[in-house]
Amino acid sequence: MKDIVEGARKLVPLLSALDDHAIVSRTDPAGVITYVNARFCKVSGYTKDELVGKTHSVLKSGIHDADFYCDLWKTITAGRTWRGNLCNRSKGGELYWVESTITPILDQGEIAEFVSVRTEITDIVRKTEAIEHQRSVLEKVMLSVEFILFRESLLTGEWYQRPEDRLGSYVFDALRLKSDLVVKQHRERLDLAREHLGLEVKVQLEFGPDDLEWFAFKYLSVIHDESFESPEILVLARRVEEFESALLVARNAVEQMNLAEQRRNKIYGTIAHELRTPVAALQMLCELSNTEFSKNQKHIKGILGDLIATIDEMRLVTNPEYEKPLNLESVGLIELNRQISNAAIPIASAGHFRFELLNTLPLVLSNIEINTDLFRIRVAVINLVRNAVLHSRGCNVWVSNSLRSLETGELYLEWHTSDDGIGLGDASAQGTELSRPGEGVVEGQGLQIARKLVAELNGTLSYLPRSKGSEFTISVPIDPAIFDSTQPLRFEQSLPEPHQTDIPSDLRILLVEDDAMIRLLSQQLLTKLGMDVVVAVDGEDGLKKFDDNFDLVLTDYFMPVMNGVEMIDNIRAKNRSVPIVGVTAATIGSQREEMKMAGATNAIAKPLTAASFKAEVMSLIEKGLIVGRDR
Amino acid sequence: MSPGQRQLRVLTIDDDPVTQQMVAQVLMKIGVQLFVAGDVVSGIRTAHLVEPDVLLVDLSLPDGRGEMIIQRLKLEPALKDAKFIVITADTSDSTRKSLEQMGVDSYFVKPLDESTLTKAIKL
Repeated sequence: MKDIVEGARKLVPLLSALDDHAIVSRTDPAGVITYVNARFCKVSGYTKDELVGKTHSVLKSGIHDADFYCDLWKTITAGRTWRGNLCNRSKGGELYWVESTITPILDQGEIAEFVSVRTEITDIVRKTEAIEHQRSVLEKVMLSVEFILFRESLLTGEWYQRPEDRLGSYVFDALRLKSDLVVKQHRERLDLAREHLGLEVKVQLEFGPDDLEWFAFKYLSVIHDESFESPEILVLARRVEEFESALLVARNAVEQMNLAEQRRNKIYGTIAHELRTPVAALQMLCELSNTEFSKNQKHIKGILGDLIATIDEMRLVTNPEYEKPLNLESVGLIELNRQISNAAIPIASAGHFRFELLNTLPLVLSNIEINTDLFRIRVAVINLVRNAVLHSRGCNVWVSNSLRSLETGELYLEWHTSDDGIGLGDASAQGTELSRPGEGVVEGQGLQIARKLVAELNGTLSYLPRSKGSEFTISVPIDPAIFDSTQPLRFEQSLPEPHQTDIPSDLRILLVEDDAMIRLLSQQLLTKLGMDVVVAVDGEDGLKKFDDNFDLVLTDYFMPVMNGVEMIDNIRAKNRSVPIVGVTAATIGSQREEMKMAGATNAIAKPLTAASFKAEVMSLIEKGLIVGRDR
Repeated sequence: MSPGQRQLRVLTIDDDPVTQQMVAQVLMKIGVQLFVAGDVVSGIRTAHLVEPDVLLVDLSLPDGRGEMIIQRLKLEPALKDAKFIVITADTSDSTRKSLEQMGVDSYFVKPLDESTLTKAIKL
C-alpha cells in the first residue's frame, strides 16, 4: 500500500506536466464527458461545467463527414486505440486542429471509459495548407513557362538531370538539351552566365538544319557532393517564347542596320568630299572671263568626266550588286593614271593621308593605249585607296604599276596599291580572306567591289604583305604581242584598232526630253552630226509626234505628263521595230531595266555625247536595227 | 604560277627607253614582275615601295650616279636579300672593283646579252 501511495505521489508531477501540455478528457462508455482538464477548457473556450455531462459533439467543426466519426467510434468501441487529426470548433466559433489519441480503458474485459489526449496542431495544419497552396501555384507557374532544371558538371561540362531536379510538370524533354546544340557564336554567352550566377543569357540551340530555337539560361548555384570532388552547377533553362524570339531577331536586325548605317555614313562622307573637289574647280572656272573659259575647256571636260565617273562609282559603292555594262575603250595609261590620281588625292587628304602615284612602267608603255574599261580599273584602284585610308591606320598610300609575265606567255598590266599601315592578320595574309584584324565589313565591301570589277575584266585582285603595311594588286591581262621582240618599239600596231566612227548622217531622230537646256544641247549635238532631229517636250508630245518614218527614238525617263516608260509602251503598240534608246541618269534607280522591259532597245547614260551617240548608232547598225538613208 | 602569288620582282633603274624596253622584252619571257624607274630619286622611292628581289641599276642617271642607289639601298633591312646587278657602259677596272666592294652581285656591259641577263636574274 505504501508502495502504491509512493508510486501515486511520483505520478502527480508527471500528470501535471501532461495537463499543462495536452488537452485531456475522459468519457463514460457512452461518450458522455466525465472530465476535462484546464487546457481542454482553455483551447475550447468552454468551462468544465459546460462540458461535463455533454458528448464531444458540442465541439464538432462540420469539416469531417459522418463516416469519419463512425469510423472513430467503431475503432474505440471495439477496444482499440484511435489516432488521428481532428478539427474542432471552439465556443467562440474558431476552428482548431488537434492530433488525438483516444484509448478505451478496460475493466474486466468491458469498456469502463475512454481517455483522450490531444495536442493542438492548428499552426502546423495552417502552415501545411499554405505550403500546399504555394506548391500548387508554383506548379501552375511552371506549367505556363516551359522550363527545365538540370545540372552542368564543372569538370566535364556535361549536362544531366537528377531525380530531385524534376520539379513540377516540366513540359519538354531534358534529353533533347545537350551542350553541343548551342550555336557556336553564343557559347561565349554561357561562359558569361557561368561567371555571373543568376544572370540570364539568351542563346540559340540548333536541333537540326533550319531548326533553331531560342532559350534563356540562368546558372543558379554551385552544388558540391559530400566528397567535394565533382562540383556541378544547377541550371535553369526556359524556352524563349515566340514574341521574345521575334524581339531578339529584331534587335539583331537593328544592330546590323546601325552597322550598315555607320558604314554608309563613312562612305558618303568620303564621296561627298570627292564630289566637292571637282565641283569647286568648276565653280572657279565659271568665275573666269569668256576667253579664259574657252581656253580652259579641256580642263572643264576633264573635271566633268571625273565628276560623272565619281557619281557612277557612288552608285557602285552604295549598291555593289549594280551591273554597269562593260565599256571597252582605248585609253592611254597616262590619262588613266591621271584620272586615278585625281580621284585618289581628295580621298587621301580627307583621311589625312599622303597619296603618291609612281610612274613605274617602261617609258614606251606610258604612251600606249590599252583597250580596257577605264571606269572599272579606276574604281577598283580607288576602292583600294579608300580601303587603305579607312582601315590601314598608316599615313601614306601609293599606287604604282608593273608588268607581270608568266612563263606560259601571258602578260598582265598591274596596279599596286600600297600603304604603310598595320597590315593584315596572318589568316588573311594567306589569301583566304582579305580583311584587317578588328575591322571587316567595310573593308570587305571595298575589296569585294574591286575584286568584282577586276574579275569582269578577266583580271585578279591579290594581296601581298609588305615589310610595313599591305599591298593590293590588280592584274589585268593585256595582249602579249606588245612585247614581241620582232617588232621593237612598235607597240601601237599590236593594239586593236579603235572603233571606226563613220556613222550614217541624216538619220531622222525623235528626241524626247523635258529639260529645256539638255534638250537644246542634245539637239545641237545631233544636228552637228548631220542628223534630222524632231524634238518633243514630254512623253505625250513624243507620242503625238511619232510616226513610222523615224530611224531612232531617243528618250528621257523622268518627264511630266507621260514618262519615258509609258511612252515606249505606247510606241511599241504601234511600231515594234523602230530602235528606241533611253537616255537616263543611269545612276539612279532601276530605270534602265524598266525602260528595257517596256520595249526599249537599249538605255545609255546621260549626258549624251558625240562618242556615246556614235557608239550606240554603230551598235544598232551592227544589229541590223538601223539602215542609214544614205546606204 | 598564277597572278596573285609572289613572283620574282625586278626593278630596273635606267633612263634610256631603249634599254628599258630591251630589259622588259627579255624579262617578259621568263616570268617576272617588272617595275621601272628612270632616275636616282624615283629608283630609291620605288625600291622602298615595291621591295624588289632583283635590282638592275644603270650607273649613269640624269640626277646622279647609280652607285648612290646601291649604297643607300644596301642599308635597307627589307632589301637585305635583294640581288644588285649593274648595267653600264663604263668598263674600267676601277669601276668594277668599287662595285664589287659595294656588294654588287653581277656586272654587265652594254649592249645587253639576253641569255647572260636571264641567267644572272634567275640565279
